[in-house]
Amino acid sequence: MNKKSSQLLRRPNDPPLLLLTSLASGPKHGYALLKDIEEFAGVTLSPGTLYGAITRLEELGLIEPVAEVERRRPYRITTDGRQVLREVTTEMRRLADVGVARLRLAARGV
Amino acid sequence: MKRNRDVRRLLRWYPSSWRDRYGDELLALLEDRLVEAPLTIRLRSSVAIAGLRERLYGSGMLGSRSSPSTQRRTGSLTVLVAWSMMAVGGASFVKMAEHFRAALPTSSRAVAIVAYDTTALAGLLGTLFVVVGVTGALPGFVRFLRADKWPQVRGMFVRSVVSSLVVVVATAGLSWWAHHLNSAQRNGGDGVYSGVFLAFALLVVITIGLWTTTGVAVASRIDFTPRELRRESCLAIAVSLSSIVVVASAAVWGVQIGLHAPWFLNGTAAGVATSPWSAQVITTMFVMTLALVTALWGVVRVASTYRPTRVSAQ
Repeated sequence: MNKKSSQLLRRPNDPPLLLLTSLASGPKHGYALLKDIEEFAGVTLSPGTLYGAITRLEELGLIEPVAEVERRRPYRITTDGRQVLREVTTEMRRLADVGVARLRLAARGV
Repeated sequence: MKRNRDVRRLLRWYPSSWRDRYGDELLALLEDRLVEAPLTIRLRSSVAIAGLRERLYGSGMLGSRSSPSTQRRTGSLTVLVAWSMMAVGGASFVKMAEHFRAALPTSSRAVAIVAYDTTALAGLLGTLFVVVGVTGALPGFVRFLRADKWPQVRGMFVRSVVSSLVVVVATAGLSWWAHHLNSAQRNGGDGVYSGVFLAFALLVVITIGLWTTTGVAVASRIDFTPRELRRESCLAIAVSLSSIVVVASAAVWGVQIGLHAPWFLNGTAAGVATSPWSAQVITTMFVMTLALVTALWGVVRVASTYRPTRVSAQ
């Protein structure tokens, strides 16, 4: 993962990360993305924030547009985008595993 | 219909290149959103802020999307804008500090005098760096004129000149008036004079703003050579260092006056125990600090383009 991508995807609720996660299940246009993110993350992104994230991710080549349908242009995740998403989520899982393991140890009084 | 017009109007916050690429999509998304929720102030402001952010990204003020040369140019111009703000704050500081030596007891005068002189010297140096920068941009300006780009900024230039002429005439009139008033009347005793002086100060600020806008508009259209850009970047760093010295020494001066003659800053009678915080002190501090923060931001943008790229061993 390059430096620009890592700057965009630092925290679990960073809009670009939410967007990549949403697109991992298939192409979606703006409104469908907002609804999906609301559903799986409980985060309501504003249209401005969503399109800011779309702009950055498209510049980095992590997502790409597909054919427009009635002024609504869906986006899909690219191979690079999948790779970045995999790396970020793996790192997050590793951290989460460390946190859970340490909590278990603390609960046992070790 | 009105709502659709309002939504379209919101897109004006975005730069035109962004609107060309994403405008229709964002419009469609906003229309979808409006089916289930009204166009609230919160929604409007979030779109406006996102649009401004795109403008900052596009101009090289944010992110690393722009080329290093664009970032250097934008960073240097940000420092120029900051120095204009500093000039306004500095003018207010000079006015505030008039005759401060007489207000201080002899024993505590030295530090304040050194701090004041340092502020003035750093201010002069900063202005000198700006003048050198403007002079260095002249070859680029000649190329700008030869490329027939002058009509793009002519309107701004004419407005700046007209505003400057008004300032010259107003300065002459105000000086003539001031000569017919005594010291007490000039320093708040005459309400009409004070009001006119405030309007004059506002006019000066507007004129500085107009010239700065014109300068930025011209400089952002000039095709600088890498060498010219490097020189302008170095000068921007020098101007920012001057800004740091100006603010630091002005702060030392303020602390000295606040400790030994707070009444002087508040405009009350000599020797009266009072708080040193007057509206002018707070405004001057705010403007100078804002100018410093802006200058530092500009320098960070310039410096980030010179940072060596780390090469991974893997």
